Amino acid sequence: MPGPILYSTNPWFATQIADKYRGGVYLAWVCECFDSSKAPPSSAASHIAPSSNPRSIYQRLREDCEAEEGHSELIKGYRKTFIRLARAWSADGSITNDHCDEIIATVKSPSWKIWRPVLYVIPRADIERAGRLNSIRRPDRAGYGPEQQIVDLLRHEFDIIELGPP
Amino acid sequence: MIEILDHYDRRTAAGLLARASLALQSGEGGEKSIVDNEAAVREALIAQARLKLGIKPDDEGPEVIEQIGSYFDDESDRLAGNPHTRAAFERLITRGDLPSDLYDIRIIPNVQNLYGKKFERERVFIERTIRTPTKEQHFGPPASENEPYLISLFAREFKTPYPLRDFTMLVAGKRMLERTLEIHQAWRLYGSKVNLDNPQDLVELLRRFADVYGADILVDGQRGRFFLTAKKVERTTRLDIPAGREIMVTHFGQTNPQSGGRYAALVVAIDLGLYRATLDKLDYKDVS
Repeated sequence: MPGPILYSTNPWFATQIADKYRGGVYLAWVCECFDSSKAPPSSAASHIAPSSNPRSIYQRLREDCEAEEGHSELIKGYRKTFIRLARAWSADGSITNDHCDEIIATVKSPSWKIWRPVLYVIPRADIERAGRLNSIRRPDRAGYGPEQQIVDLLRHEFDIIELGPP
Repeated sequence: MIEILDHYDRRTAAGLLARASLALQSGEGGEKSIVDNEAAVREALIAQARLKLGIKPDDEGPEVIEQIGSYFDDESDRLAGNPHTRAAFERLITRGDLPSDLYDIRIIPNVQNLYGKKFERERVFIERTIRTPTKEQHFGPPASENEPYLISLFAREFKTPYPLRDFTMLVAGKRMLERTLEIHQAWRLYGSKVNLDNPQDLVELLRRFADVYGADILVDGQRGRFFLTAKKVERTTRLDIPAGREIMVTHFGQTNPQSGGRYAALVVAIDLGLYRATLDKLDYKDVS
């Protein structure tokens, strides 16, 4: 049975993009448990791939930021995605060219602060009841376990936390 | 060069490629089409990429998807050109949105003199506070007359083996063009001396600090130890200070961007003897 909370790990810059450029609308890939490796073996959540596990992502991102790991595959992936999103939003007219430049210039900058991980903690019930919890189809998931996406998450609907050292 | 994109302006073409990459990567790609029959355009783009990269039409492996996405990214980069980084950063600086670890930090001599021989150690705490703050507050272009302007405040907690000696570093600086952050104020706030509970913002924390360590001065005819803004701050504004007490009045010089008029912001008058006594009593060598 799915838990009452959804979790999503994101780089801090994702929150800045939502606040500054997307009118406070957040996009989140979510998981129904914080650590899928600790989920009961018979549960669907136990089949969530490590690359989609919020806890694993959080740890890797934090370690890469603390070590200032210039070859971090995770950060390279986020950088690529943010550039794609900025260009897509610029083309559909939802952000200006200046905003597109600001996003791209920032993610290409040597800042480490923008990549530090934050955890979204999202109460599930209202989102699900409103039909806003979209299941990700199998080819786009990293594993067999369920993954969902919310594309219109508002700031008052969830909490953002930063975890202390392990 | 992907011929099918010749029909579109560069921004749209770069966007089509980005949306195709997102769709390949994660199924995202925008619900509404940005051009007529975008699905067909996307199919054509992918087919052309496969041809160009020598990939079989039925090969859907993750490496192949990655390869096609990277190809689209390169083409998108070429079409969109480089971002106007300098202008982008200037706008971010003005708004207070530039990530704080991108600033070159310059600490004014007043702060260096305040900490004397221990300044180099303090500099480490100041820089960590700016690079990785737990709270930050930025004043952008003023919404009304004589608000603080281009000023940023940062706070970060530092731990010692003894909770009583833990402190919050509060740093205030002025954002300059060329990505310089000029630090005018850096104070340690100990919980046993200053109330650190739930301040409304970092200005409120600075005000609480001044309440504890301040000395009254006269500014614009008002007596006080903290002023968010003031028309004029002069040496003569200090009240009679008893002999032996060293009072530091610190503020940010501001120019109103509309009128050009000069004023001061975040004016605080601190009794340095009182402050240093706290440092002498509570400082501890192991701070993390």
